[in-house]
Amino acid sequence: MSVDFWIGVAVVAGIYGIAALGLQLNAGFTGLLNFGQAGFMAVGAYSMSLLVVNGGWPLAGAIPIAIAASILSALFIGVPSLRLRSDYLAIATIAFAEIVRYVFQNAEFAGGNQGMLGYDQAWRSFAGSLSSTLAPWGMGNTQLPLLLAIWIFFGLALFVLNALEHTPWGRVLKGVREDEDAGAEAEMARVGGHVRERDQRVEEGRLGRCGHGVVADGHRHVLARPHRLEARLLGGDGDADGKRGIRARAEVDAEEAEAHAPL
Amino acid sequence: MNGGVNGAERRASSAPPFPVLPEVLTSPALKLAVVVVLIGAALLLVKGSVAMGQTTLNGLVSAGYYALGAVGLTLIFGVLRLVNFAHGDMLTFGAYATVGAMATGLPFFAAAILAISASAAVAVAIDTLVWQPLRRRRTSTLQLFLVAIGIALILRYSVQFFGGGQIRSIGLDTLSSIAIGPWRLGTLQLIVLAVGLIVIALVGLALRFTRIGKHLRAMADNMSLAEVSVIDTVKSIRLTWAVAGALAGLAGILYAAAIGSINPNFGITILLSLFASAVLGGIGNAYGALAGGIVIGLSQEWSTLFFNPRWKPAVGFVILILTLLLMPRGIFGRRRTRL
Repeated sequence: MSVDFWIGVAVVAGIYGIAALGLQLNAGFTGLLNFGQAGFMAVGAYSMSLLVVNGGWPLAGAIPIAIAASILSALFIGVPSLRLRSDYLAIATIAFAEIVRYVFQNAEFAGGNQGMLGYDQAWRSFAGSLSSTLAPWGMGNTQLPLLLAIWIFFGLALFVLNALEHTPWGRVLKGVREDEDAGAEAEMARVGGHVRERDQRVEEGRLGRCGHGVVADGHRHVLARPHRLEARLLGGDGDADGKRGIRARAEVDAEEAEAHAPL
Repeated sequence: MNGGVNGAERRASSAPPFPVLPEVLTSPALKLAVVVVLIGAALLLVKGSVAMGQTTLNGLVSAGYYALGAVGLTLIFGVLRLVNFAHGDMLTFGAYATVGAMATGLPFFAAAILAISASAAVAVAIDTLVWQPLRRRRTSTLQLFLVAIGIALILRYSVQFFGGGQIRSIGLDTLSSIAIGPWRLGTLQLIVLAVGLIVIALVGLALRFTRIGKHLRAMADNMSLAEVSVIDTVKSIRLTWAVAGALAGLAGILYAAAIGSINPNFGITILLSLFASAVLGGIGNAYGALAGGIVIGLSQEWSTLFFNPRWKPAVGFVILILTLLLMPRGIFGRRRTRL
């Protein structure tokens, strides 16, 4: 059925969309060239599957822990490397992502190249009952609950990002982007941008896994990254909802950033 | 007139004496050599001469292609501030061009020379078609990153389209080996070792003593200063690409000969080790890249004394991240202004 096909497409599109929003906070608002995206996603995904499959945790309990693990890894690589100039940061984050990929691809506990299976049974039974409830109304597609979950989260993330853009904190981030040196004392702002983005990313990793059913780390290859960056660029560099004109506001933003620097 | 002369004298007396020795022999290189030798000696005591000698030989084999690959990366970064993600796939291209030329009946060395020239030509062509227009438009770093990744993909899948996705034998005798005392080394590896070390030395000497080498180092050091000096930067940028491409092609051939087979992904798999070499040596510093390549090659092989060899690449990544976090300027990097 072509409807089923497009539902599958929309699931992937929503996941990329959430990822693009996350990068937006990093690269678009703050001007950080973070190429470690896929690595942070993998940390979230694997923490959750390891907890569920190897640790016997319930899915709902594993997700917050996985988010925490992702935040920790983001702080681990993010805080020290923010001292670096932007092109160095890109190399450092790529190396981090590659280390993550290597570890998960080669470690026995993570299933090696095979990846991990069987972490999403709780979600499957929930989604299965939901779609059989909806079946009488012609909405029996098994991916429909996932689609809804992803796009609801996308909407929430978009709303939060839009709101953030107009807070003092959002303006500090943009000040950092326009002048990294002047933003030196606003470093905390950059760390904040890093971590908050990570939250979104973990969520995206979780939804992505439920979609594919397999955590195989090959997916998190370096190639996955440019697609998301492209998605973000297509949406307009630096605007959550794709409208232009950031550059024109840059001076105002920088002034306001200075005013709010001791954040 | 007088004032100028006095000023020059004052500057000369306050500045350290002009280094007579090549930069390789000044203190950071010595420190690095001492550290590497000390670690080597410690491992020799712990693990014995057979294991240590063998891993050191293997390390020097990979040092050849790491160092030669990293020089190109570092020159391009130093001259253009461009993190060239397509560099790994230039290695792939060099190796496939060699195997392709050999398939037409050419002997190995002729094929290799042809492939090295072809790599240089491809690098210059990409610069003319892509990077030069982007430079004129002053494209931002993020966009340049994405373009570089795009070029890497185009190169890789072109190679895959014409060469096939399967793992290919390089069509040379990969089985014969030579015993040197208790150590064994494949004949091909021995050739790779010799060629690698000789070319590293030649590249170092050329950078030091030839005019072209001086121009490249001057541009990598400070583009604007080089531009206001006599250096024709447009021509020299093209030359940088040609040198980087040729060395990448050679490094690819050496890598293929060392591991005995090629596949379209093999360049990208060592790209981060090349970055590690370049960053460790101080990105933008050509001698540093050569030294960094040797250090990365040795430490990856020495790590196999303790860990499963499958973790070799991760050693390179860890060194890369530690270098970036602890001393982002690298071993040879100078205190430099932000560009």
